[in-house]
Amino acid sequence: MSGTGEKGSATTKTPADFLKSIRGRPVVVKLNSGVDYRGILACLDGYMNIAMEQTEEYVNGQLKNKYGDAFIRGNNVLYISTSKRTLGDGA
Amino acid sequence: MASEEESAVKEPLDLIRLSLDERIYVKLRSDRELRGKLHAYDQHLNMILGDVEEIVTTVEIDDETYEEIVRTTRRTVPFLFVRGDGVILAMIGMFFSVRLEDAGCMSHVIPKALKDGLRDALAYGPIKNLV
Repeated sequence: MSGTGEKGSATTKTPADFLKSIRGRPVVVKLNSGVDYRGILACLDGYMNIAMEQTEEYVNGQLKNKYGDAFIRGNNVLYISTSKRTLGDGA
Repeated sequence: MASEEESAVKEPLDLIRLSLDERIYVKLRSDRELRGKLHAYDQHLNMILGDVEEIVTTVEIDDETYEEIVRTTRRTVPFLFVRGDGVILAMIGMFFSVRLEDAGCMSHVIPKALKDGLRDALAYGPIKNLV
């Protein structure tokens, strides 16, 4: 367990740096269709393809599905936002 | 931080690679969903799927009551080439990550035995609302 989620938060300079720094953190990914995916960002690439864990799909703010690992094709991504909520955390 | 190098997933497409010869769920544009065995894929996410079930969801508005009528149409296709640009999302191994978290493992290092053991369960498609 080496996870310190807060590391590198203040030193991001470019969007790419930001994306690198948020791996392993809980995020909200909004697609162009308006659908939200919340989960742990596993990794992403230059196309903004995203691999997520513990993914929850929200349509119109309602939880529609839960998935384990999900791959999101980058062209659908509107934004990626870090979320304070820690998924699967008891407290 | 060596854990990242050890992990089987360094980039998102590795997640797809891990799903070769597994049944996966694919969400496409225009409310289409596919479930099938992934035979091949490329960097565009063009895919060859086998033994595919396609589910098309349509929403109609009732003229009088303005109620939404949701209809799903299903068909099966033995083999399907999917053009990558239609793909929104691909889902794999719904089961694994849950179990692995319970075990406190790094979620992407999937024990082979566990993977084999659960393959049959997964072969029947995504298990919704598992948790």
